[in-house]
Amino acid sequence: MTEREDAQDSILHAIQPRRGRALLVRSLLKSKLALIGMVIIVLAAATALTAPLLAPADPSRVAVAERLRPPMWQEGGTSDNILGTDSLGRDILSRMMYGARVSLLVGCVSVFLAGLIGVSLGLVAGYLGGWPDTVLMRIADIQMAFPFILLAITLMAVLGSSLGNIIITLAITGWVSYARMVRGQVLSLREKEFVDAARCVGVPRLRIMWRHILPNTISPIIVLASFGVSAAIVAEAGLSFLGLGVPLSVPSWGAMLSQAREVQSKAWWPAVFPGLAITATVFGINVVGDWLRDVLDPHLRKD
Amino acid sequence: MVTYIIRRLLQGIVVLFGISFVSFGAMFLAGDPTNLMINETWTQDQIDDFRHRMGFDRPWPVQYVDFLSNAVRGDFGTSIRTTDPAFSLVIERMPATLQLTFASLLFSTLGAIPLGIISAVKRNTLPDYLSMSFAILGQAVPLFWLGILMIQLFGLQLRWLPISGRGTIKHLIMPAIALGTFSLAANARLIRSSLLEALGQAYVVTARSKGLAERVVVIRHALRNALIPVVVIVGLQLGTLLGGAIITETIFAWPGVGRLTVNSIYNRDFPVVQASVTLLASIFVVTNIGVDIICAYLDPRIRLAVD
Repeated sequence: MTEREDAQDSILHAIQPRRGRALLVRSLLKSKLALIGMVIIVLAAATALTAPLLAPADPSRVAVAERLRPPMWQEGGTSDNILGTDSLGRDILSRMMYGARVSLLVGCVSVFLAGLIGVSLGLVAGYLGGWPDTVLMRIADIQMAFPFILLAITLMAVLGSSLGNIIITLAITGWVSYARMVRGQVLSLREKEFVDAARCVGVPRLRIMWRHILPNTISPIIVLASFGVSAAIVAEAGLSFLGLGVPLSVPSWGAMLSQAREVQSKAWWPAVFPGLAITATVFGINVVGDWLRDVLDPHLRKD
Repeated sequence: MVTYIIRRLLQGIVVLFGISFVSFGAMFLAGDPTNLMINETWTQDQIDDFRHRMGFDRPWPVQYVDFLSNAVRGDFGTSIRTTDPAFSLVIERMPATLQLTFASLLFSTLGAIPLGIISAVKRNTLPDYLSMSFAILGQAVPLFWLGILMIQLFGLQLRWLPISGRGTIKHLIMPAIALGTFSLAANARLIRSSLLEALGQAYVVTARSKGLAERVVVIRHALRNALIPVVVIVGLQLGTLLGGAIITETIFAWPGVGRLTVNSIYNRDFPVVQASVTLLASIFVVTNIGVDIICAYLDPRIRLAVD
């Protein structure tokens, strides 16, 4: 970075508004729901990270003699399998802990990729306008015409089930909302005085987009991304439930539910606990997302 | 208004072309589509013969033009498994899917309106907290789990409702609730915030100061305006519902297009997959055009902005 660019940035940054981090923490402590959500997220992430250390059993160990053991508090349950075993005698708690890794990994990575694609395209389309903008928006229109799950199912059917493919599929199906949102923001931001100022002092286009426009779109991106993660987790579980997600050998919450259905008339526990894990995680992320929206984007706050 | 409708229809045609291209192109993502459909036991001759019969040995632009010209005439080829026309297989099951989708649309909309009104009018009281807790929870429960839980409780334990198939109205209850709950929750929250905004407007103050009953103020004056964004969202939700129907139909063995699609994917029967993907997406596009036109009619600001 040259001295001149440095000077340009420091002048322009002095004019841009900055938000306080202390304010965020204080508001989080005040909102009980968001605090609960944050605790759930931290718990889920910690479980995912420490699954190999903490899981009471090998999640893939099949023990037919121990099949469909009820949870420990029910008659016939043992403390070896706190939440019972599934139709192949595998420990449900351990499988759920490993399942958290799949859910969170797919949720975070696919949203990161979708955001990266969407934000870059939206930024460029919105700032340049003209034909790149038209082409991008028509592609977005077409993609929005597909019900999200339908497109994901079609892609997974063609690509085949694997962890990598599900991440790619969810990134491809998810980028549009980021692109549209960022484009809309850029359209209004590029007319603002600070962008004019940057242009006047000769800041190159890419640098204006990166240093002066992008930071101003960050709040809505974060909000969108938080809901994106929960949507991706549900989508992964749904695809795995249909047998089109991660391979059967990988423990995942959706696949556990699908296997549980086959023995549902004999045992309720294999179908209840993994679903509870999905719901709790999604709930946690959603309430934090709601809170972030209220805090970061006062314009969107309706009440 | 006419300009707006024509414009919207033209855009719709462009999108329909795009849909046909995506349905066609998806098969080529993994290379030669022949590989997606063949059986491992086939000999090379059989594979070559199949490739030629399906026309996969021709350049793809030729195949696309062929696909498109057949598709507009309702010909998506024949099912690889049953040799029935793919289009009629899909059309036969469409009423079941539409019945399920509209039942859940009705459930979610009719359920959301009272919930949204109660929590907006009784803001920050117990009814508000209860209905919003329900809404936040409803947005977090994945529909396939909700379906499984309902089957467990109302189907297997209490034996109140049938757990699979289609026929009586009883068969429709659980699938429609499973599919509609997410939208119900989302709509209730939207109606609440939209109504709260409307209740703060000057015309509501005017209505109140005229001495109108609160019920009339809320329903006649505020709610009417608050429902416009809801109409837009309900249109978009139809896409979510059609997509969700695929999973719901699988859980409840509902004989619709969604279940057909999933089974065709398992059977690698891609002509049927293409036909159902194209048709479902087209239904979504057409309804959204309809919704946009209704909105433009309801809200003059929309059509004036475009004209």
